[in-house]
Amino acid sequence: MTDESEIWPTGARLGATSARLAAISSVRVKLSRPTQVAVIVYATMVVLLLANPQALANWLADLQQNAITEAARSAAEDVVEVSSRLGLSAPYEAAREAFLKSGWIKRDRGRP
Amino acid sequence: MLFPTIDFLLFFAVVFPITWSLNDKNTLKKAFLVLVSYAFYASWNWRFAFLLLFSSTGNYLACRLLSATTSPSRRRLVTFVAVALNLLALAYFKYFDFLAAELMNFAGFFGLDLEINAPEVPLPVAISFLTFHGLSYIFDVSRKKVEASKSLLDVVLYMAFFPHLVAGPIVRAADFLGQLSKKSDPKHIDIAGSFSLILGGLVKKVVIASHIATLFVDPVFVNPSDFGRLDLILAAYGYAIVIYCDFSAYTDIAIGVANLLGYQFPQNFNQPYRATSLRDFWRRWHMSLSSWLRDYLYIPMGGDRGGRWATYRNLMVTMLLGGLWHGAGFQFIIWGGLHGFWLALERFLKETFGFDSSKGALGVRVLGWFVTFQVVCAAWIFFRSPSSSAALEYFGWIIRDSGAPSTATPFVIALMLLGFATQLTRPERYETLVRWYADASLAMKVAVPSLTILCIGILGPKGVAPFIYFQF
Repeated sequence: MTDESEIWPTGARLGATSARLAAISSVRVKLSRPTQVAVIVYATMVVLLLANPQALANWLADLQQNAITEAARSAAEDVVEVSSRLGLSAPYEAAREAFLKSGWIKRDRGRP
Repeated sequence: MLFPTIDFLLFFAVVFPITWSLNDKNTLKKAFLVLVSYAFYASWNWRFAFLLLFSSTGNYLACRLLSATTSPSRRRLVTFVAVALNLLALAYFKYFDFLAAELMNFAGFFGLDLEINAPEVPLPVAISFLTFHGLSYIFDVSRKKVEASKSLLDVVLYMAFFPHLVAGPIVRAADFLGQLSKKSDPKHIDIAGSFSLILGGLVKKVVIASHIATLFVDPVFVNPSDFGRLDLILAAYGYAIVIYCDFSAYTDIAIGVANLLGYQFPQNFNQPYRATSLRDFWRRWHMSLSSWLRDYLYIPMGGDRGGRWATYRNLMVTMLLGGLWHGAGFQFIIWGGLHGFWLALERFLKETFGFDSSKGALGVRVLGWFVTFQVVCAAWIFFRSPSSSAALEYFGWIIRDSGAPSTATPFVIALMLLGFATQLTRPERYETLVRWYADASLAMKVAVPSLTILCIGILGPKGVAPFIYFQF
């Protein structure tokens, strides 16, 4: 049986995380504002790519096919596979699936 | 290229670092921004990019001519010709079909068989915003509020800068050209404020506006006879939320994106549905348009300087033209007329009885808020309907009531309440959130947009509809 502390970090581990965050915060002081924005934009793109790689794959599939888009699509498929294997995309996919199945966005066209 | 798409995210991810890396070479930076702005505009139709270039160059030359002319009569002539050329382009692309159809109808009324073959010209995206920016520059130079720019590049960038190009906010030449004369100061980047505007805009557009529109408002307005009175009234309120969340989302994102690139745009919305009078509403709704109409139309017509009835007339004419600017159709003219009439009525009540619903006891202000919101929503029915007759039929169906049960789902009602809550939340609460984000660590600054965009992806519809104001 898995020890819960392996999944939910203990206080000691939280302390380590806080120290890392503090270290990152101290980096923030040294970064210029454009650099901070660039970090936010690119890091957000990486998080989105790992958490929902299918969005990029679908977007590339809609583009006109040529050597560049073909290579990009192949790379995106690789990311989809890696993300899926590591379970990174599972929370997003499960949440999206649950939302679509909820029936909340079923359109009622009024009087039959 | 729409803001809430992967296309735009990639576009911005390329444009942002290059823009700042060129900051010390201001001319090169501006040339780069012109290039990417034209690419942005050409993503709809590359032919329209020539119209944009032609308009920018024409306005640049007209203003150079104005600055070289000292004779008042010649200045007036140059101003008149430049304004007329801007308006002619707008009339040709936007109103030709409407005017031709109305002329043929008018001739038919007198038994004349008039045939006007309208050329099938596609409406250039954002032609009205383009015209507003051109006219703003001409008027400001003509009134010597701003010097005519010697740099064609500056004028081309002023007209084409991609964040405001398609749907505003309407940026005054006097406010923007000065920002182009020197390199941007990185300290002016408000990271927390900009990301809050961008993320808030994405939530308003993709989650709130898109769902309310597709699940409820659009079906009701397409076939009002299929729905009962409650749905028809709810759809009018729903559209009020949709158009606010849609349009304010675009301008919020535009303001945020421009700020990240080092440029400041004016605020365009300030919780308009909190307004306690229609006058108050127009100080909060599409503020860059209302101040434009005030400064370039209402005041030059005489404003409130010509006596009571002249003021009412000026208000009415300003709002009628404001309505016509939104679209070629009588429904927009009636929408503007309703606003003009109510503004004149408020002024009449204030001047005659001293009654002002924006001031006074709490009860008076609550009543003022309630009445103003109903007037605004009733006028929105004309704005949303495909024609004036369809809008009148819509009102007819509300009065007759088909008896059909309500079809608004709890999800739609919840989104409408959420959209309305954006109006009632005190501004200090937003400021607290922005301050918290400003003080957060860099890791948290990444986590917030990442989680927000993922949540938008989970809760959003499939695909994103264009912004409503793109058609204007």
